[in-house]
Amino acid sequence: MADKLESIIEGCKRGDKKSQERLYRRLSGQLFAICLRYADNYEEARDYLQEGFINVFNSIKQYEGKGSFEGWMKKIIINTVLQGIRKKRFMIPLVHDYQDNYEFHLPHMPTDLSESDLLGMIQELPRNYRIVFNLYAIEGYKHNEISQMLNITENTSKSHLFRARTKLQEKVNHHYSKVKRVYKSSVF
Amino acid sequence: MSFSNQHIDDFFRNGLQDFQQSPPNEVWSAIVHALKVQKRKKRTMIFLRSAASMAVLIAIGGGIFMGLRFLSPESGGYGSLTTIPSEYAEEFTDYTLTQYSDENIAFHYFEEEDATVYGEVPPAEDKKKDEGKPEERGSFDHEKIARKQAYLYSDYSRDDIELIRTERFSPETNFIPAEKREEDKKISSGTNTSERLTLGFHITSSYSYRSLRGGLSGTPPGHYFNGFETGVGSVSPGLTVSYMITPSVEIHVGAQISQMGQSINYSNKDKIISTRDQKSNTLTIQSSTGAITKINPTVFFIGNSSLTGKSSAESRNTFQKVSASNFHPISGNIEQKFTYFQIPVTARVYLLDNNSSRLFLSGGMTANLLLGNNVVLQRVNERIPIGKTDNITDLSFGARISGGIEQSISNGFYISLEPVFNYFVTPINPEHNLSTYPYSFGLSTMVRYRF
Repeated sequence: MADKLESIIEGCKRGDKKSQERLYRRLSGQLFAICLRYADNYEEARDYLQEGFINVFNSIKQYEGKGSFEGWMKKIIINTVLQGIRKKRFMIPLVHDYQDNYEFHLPHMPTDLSESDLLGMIQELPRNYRIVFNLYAIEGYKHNEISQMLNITENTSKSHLFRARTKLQEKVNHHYSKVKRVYKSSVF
Repeated sequence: MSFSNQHIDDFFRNGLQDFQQSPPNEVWSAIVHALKVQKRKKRTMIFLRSAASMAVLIAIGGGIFMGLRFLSPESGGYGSLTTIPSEYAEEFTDYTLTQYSDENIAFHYFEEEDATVYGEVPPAEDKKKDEGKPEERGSFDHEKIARKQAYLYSDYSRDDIELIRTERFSPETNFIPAEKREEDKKISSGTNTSERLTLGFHITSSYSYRSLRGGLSGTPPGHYFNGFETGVGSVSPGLTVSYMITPSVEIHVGAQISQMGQSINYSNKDKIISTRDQKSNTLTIQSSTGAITKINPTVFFIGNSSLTGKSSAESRNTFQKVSASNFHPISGNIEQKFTYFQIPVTARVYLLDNNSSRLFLSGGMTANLLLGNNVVLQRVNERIPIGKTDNITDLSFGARISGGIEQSISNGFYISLEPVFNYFVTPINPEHNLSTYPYSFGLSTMVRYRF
């Protein structure tokens, strides 16, 4: 499998259209999921994926085989997304209102939250919270890195993360409270 | 149960770890299309750069070559050589003068069978006075003789010209340099008018932008717009008719379609000043060239976002009522373009001429008739019309300067490469507080035919 990906990459480096299409078919689902997490809507995610793949094909010669290729592509897609987001200049400085040791309470119930449900919850977050949560919680970037990537202060990044977590907890709680009601009504 | 910060992060990270979603089918088609466009643009840029480099190299090389050729002490310099140089005289001991008709006399010299040198003796008023004596005037390419190269005129070996006489010819004869003779021939009143006419087709790749002057107090100055407006590239076809008024000067009159304009960089949209009139549902965007207006727009600039609605009818009635979240944020660049029918009238002066290639400079004026005035939001695969620029004048004038090299490619056909600079000398929007003067740099390639 690894050899096959290598040959696809080599083909892409030569500008071979079939290799480009094979790469797209292979990784577009995974990368589109990332775009959906960051974008405001489906159309925007589609645009990010499109621009991201164009950037990948334009810069694939720079990939020297060091590290995971999927990771390299993911970085390019995220950079493309952030570039689009930076153009929107959405970040509004907020006061320092986060709490580092705040406990988030999630119900301990058998989870029935699907991937689509989780994605939907993230998509419903305000854009600035959503971006920071994605970068910090999902991609694993630090606040100082996020502050540089988004041209915001570290405190703003922390504040957005805190608010994102709060809102996500509310959404999860809300989801489970509905599940609980259904569960009780079905039992009694 | 309570979760720490880390747990809620893990909850979502783990939940979405393997999540995949197939994108819509049209994304791949759009990527393929965008890559093709990129490739085409890249090729065009490579071609233009190569052509420009070649034009410069040819111009420099040609200039050096021709300068050396005309100024070389060996050749005696252009126009100053009236006799065969003495160092060659010994070689030309056996000339034959041949008259093929009353009007044309040619001479040739046989040194060796494979080194025949021809020249032409023009009709001399006194040539019949002393028949049998050497001809006193003639034209000759001295340098070519010296190098034992080809002949200058070959027409006189034609079968349709009757051979009248052949006689010996002296090397001491005064010769008129071939180039001078050619000039005299062109200047003479007997030159056929149609020989001075040419018709050419040309194509020009250019980059256009604008310069700004003036501005009223209280309005954004020119440099404000320079922060987010940039030039655009275009390709313009055209036709040119030329008429040679002297051997070294031609008048050119052309007709071409060209595009001037600029791109408004969307990434700086926070600087873009846009307003909307609710009664007329008109969107107005300020640009250095003037106000861009669109009635019943489908694209809006609200806050720091640009948004597109689904239809103008929808936006008309819901402009104020519909919240921004009901529109789709989009990205792209605003392209403001003016299509002109240009009529350039220029004079071309030939500086160096070696019969097959010529260097020239050209200058003149252009009349610019406005054909199109469009502003679009340019996206990767989509062009959304967002109005037109107000008060752009229908007729404006410009200056044009160029220079280049022309090469004869076959009988009557010539090809030229010509870097061109166009500058509008009248503002294209007289009613705007800033005076806008578009200009363009380009490279023109022309193929023309001399009748």
